[in-house]
Amino acid sequence: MSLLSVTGLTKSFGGVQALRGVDFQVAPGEAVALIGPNGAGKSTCFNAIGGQLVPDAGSIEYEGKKLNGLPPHRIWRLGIGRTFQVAATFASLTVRENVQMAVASYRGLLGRLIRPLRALCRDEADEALRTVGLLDQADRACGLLSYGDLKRLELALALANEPRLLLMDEPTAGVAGGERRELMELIARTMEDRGISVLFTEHDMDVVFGHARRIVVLHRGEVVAVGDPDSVRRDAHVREIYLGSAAEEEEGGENEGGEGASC
Amino acid sequence: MSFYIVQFLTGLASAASLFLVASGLSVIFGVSRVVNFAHGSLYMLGAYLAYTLVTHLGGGALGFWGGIVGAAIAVGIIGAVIETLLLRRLYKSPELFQLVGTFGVVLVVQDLALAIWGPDDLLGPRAPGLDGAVSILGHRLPEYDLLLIVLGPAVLLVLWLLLNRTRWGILVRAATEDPEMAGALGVNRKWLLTGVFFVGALLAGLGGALQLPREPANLLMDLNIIAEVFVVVVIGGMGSLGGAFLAAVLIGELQAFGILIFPEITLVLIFLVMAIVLVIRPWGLLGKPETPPPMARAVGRPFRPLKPGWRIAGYAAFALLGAVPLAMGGYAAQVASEVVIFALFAASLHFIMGIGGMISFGHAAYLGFGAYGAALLVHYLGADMLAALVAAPVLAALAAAVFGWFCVRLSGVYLAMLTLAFAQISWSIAFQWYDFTGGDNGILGIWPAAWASGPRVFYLLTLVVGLAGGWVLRRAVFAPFGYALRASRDSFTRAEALGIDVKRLQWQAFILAGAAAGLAGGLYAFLKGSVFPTVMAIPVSVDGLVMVLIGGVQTLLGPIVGAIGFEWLKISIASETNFWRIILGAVIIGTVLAFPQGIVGFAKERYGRREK
Repeated sequence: MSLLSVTGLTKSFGGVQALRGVDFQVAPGEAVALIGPNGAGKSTCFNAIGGQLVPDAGSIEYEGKKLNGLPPHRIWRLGIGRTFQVAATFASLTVRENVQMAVASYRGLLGRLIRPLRALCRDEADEALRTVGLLDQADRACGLLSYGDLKRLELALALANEPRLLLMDEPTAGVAGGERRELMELIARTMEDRGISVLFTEHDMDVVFGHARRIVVLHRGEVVAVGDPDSVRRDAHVREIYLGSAAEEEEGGENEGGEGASC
Repeated sequence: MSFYIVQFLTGLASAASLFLVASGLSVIFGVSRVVNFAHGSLYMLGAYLAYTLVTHLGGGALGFWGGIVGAAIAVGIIGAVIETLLLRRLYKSPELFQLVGTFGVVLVVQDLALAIWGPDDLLGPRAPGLDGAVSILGHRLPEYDLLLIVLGPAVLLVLWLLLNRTRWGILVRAATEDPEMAGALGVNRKWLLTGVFFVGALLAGLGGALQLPREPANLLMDLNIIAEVFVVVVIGGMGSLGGAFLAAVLIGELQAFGILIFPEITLVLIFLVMAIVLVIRPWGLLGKPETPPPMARAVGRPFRPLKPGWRIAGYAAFALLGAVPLAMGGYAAQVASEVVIFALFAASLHFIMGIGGMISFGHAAYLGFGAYGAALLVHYLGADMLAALVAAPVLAALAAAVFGWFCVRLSGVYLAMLTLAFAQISWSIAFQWYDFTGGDNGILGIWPAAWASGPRVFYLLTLVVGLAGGWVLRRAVFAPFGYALRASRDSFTRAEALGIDVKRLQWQAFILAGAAAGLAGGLYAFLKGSVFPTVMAIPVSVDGLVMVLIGGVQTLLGPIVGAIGFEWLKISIASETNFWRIILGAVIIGTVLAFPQGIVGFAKERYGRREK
């Protein structure tokens, strides 16, 4: 039985059909990558699942519950964490306060009016910061962090509700080479330790083929291929989309397919 | 039946001026993303200038129409001058500064108009050739109204042609759609904006000039029209000329027919219609559902807890400062009471604005609900002072719950416009519902209980209550609630994605701030011994904004420092001159020009390197 099941998802903006009946599933503990060229509908798909957009048709089911039309804060309560393409954090709070907020929200403590937040959920917050390697920066203003550290902080925030599914829109976008590999390893390790499923989009094909167990390929709002990394790599249709018709003539090695697509 | 037809035509005629002003505001907003608060002042100037020109040019059609057109063009030029001198420097500033800066212009214009034309209403001549009335099915309709009925759609057509069929219009639309691309293609945005302000101001001036035969030029015109125009723009959809026309007709008709059904509360009808529209189409009738313009707001820095030594020193300084008026005598205690009351008022405004990121231009409404609530209880039920002081925040919180429910559905300048509209509606209820509130005669004889009647005792009471209110607000800022509010201000998307129901949270903050303002209002009623509608008028809301602005939007002590500074300024200037508004306006304009990025932004730039 799948954790997340998307069926017939459709969304159009004005005359542009961004999604035309997208189907795919995510099983418990599975890492699934959603890839496709620019404009394929990846972000639309993500925002529909996260509640930032309301789909026109189709259904999104998570643990048997329908998500369509629920606002983001309700979806989060069901156990889905989320990171954004451009890291979204609270710039005027300290790093620790960011995480304390997230934990306090999970515990349902945000309505409190008198007792200060300072002492609240502090240990849990520090634990989360240690996991992502930011404990030594806990007291800094979040606006002063480097972008790679912001991405780490966002991960800590997304994990605060002990999610069973994590939605990550380009987890490594904007992060430089070495830092990127470390970040992705951190994510993979955390997922494995906690048995969390991940659905992510990514432009870096090394990351995609290195970390996804299954890959869903979107093109012009439709799913054109689904499968494990090897079968997707060999898929003629996918090669055509990414490399153009030249791919058919070329007798290139399989690795080159991945390399070429990362450009 | 025929009577209703005539009434309908009257409604159409009054829609004309409303549409002219609203379309000007809309065109300016479209290109510059500035809500020009001073648009009502331009309208008022149009009426006054038309009066002067028409009476000087002498009678006759040429004199009259020459005067009207001349006034409109003069106002257009004034608008262009305001743009070049003030607004051009504020395009990149936080929107609060744009709104407050243009309100500075409102204050200056008010006093200039008072100085030039005097306090009396000036009734202009009737339009030559159109001074009669036509008979429609036995009812009389002024000929001039017929002209206005035709003029509204005609102006809509001309504007449409101007924007869609001329090269200038194409450039304006390009700059509206994609300012950066238009700039990259060589459009001179600077002069385009000045041109747009000229056109927008000309429309406002024309609207005012054309009102002259219907309503005398007076000093209340500016704020009355701006509230109505905000309603029109919110209902019609920002940036949509067709929407502005439709909404202006709707409001015109509501006023025409509402006066038959509820002559005293026509504004309540308007409020109901606006509420319904906002629930069904939050972006207005013909507006596009777009994300509000990006907010160039200053992001605060983390609040650091004070070191214990400093905290004790702070409490000591507070206690000392609080004790000083006691030693100085009755008058000082009275003045100090007022300062405390306004500090609490400013702190409550700061709570939703600085912490919550919601700019309110109508916060005085809740001060007023508190003051009127207390006063009405005493007047009609003979309530005890303490009971009235408990009821005041409750009533204000109820009002804030109703108004806030609609306000939090919007954000940025739209929210600011809506808060202003609600406040103006509240004001006119107090002003118009003569039998219940006493209208502009107010409610008199609201004196404190005997034990608190001495100015010093009352000051102590005010201080205790004010400190308690301030303490709750301050605790709320540091409690999870306040953090969630700041978090939602920093990033709506992230807050929602962390399980925070942002709209609900903002609504709760609105209610809390309303209650605190209401408490201040209750105290104010007993301090003054009376309540008048002016307590909830727009200038009081702006006083609050200025206090927060002077003190600094991102500091917790700011509103208190600001309230002390503002009251001192007001008392010292008001005792010297009758034209204190012009000085206050100049102070406001000076502040926003000197700190275009906000005082905190300025301080950050200057001292920001300290934090690493």
